[in-house]
Amino acid sequence: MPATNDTVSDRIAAARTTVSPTRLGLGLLGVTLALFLLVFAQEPLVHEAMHDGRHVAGVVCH
Amino acid sequence: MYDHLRRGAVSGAVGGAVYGLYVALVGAPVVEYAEHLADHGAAAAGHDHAGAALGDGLAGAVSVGGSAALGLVAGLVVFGAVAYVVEPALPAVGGSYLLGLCGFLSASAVPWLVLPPAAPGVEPTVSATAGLTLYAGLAVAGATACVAAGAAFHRLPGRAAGAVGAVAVFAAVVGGAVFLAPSVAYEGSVPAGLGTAYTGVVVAGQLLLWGAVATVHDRLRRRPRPTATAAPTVAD
Repeated sequence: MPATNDTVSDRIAAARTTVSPTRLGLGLLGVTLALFLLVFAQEPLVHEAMHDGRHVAGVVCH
Repeated sequence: MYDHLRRGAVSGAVGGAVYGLYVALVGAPVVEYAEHLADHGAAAAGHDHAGAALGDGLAGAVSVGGSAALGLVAGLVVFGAVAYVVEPALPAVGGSYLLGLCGFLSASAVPWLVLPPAAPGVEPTVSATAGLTLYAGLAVAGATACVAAGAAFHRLPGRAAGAVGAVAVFAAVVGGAVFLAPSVAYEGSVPAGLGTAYTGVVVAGQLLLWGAVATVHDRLRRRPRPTATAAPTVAD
């Protein structure tokens, strides 16, 4: 698939120049927040709402 | 970079939709049936269910939508950002499926070695917070093992040695993590047949999720533009 013969280090370097630290931070924050809400939140309302989904995903927690 | 993210997001959205349907049509009914049995057995004392605070319908919808959202997150992270970085190290053919396999191993299979999926009515004796923290830690260990296996493959000469080395490194990292993890006991019981069927539903669901995202991702591969106007190929 790669049209150019670049390496993993090239890709990391390219990502560093195209993605600003702010965007990277926002992206990481968004993903963390989504995962937290969907899987790891203990707040009863949130936790119960995803109850079936978590069970089907095989995450056993209570 | 943004092309990769877009491709990952599209794969994740489609795969997540397929998986959401599976949760709605197969997963949730099985969970509810198992819970129904557990409620009428002795093992279910003192635990809340979905629908205790919310309506059953709303909780069901959130579960299905949330499952689809998980697919989107998986697509964005694994098939978008991670795929962009590791693409040069992936094989030209089947790279998407290799990514999907790594996703499945990290997010599900490795954590299951310590915290296997269990039907409602069978519950780990650790607290929910401890269980989820352990699950997350094992998922990180799984992802580390995948990256280490890939690095080993490319550092060893030859495909055969690389493959053996990659499997050995993966097994060593995962084995170490499982060895370090506290062992978790389960209590309660469900009929043996139900337990097996339930595990089957869970494993099939995760394979479906990662398989669907990987398939869409593979189909979206940028193919070299055909030089001549080729006759439309029969769908394979």
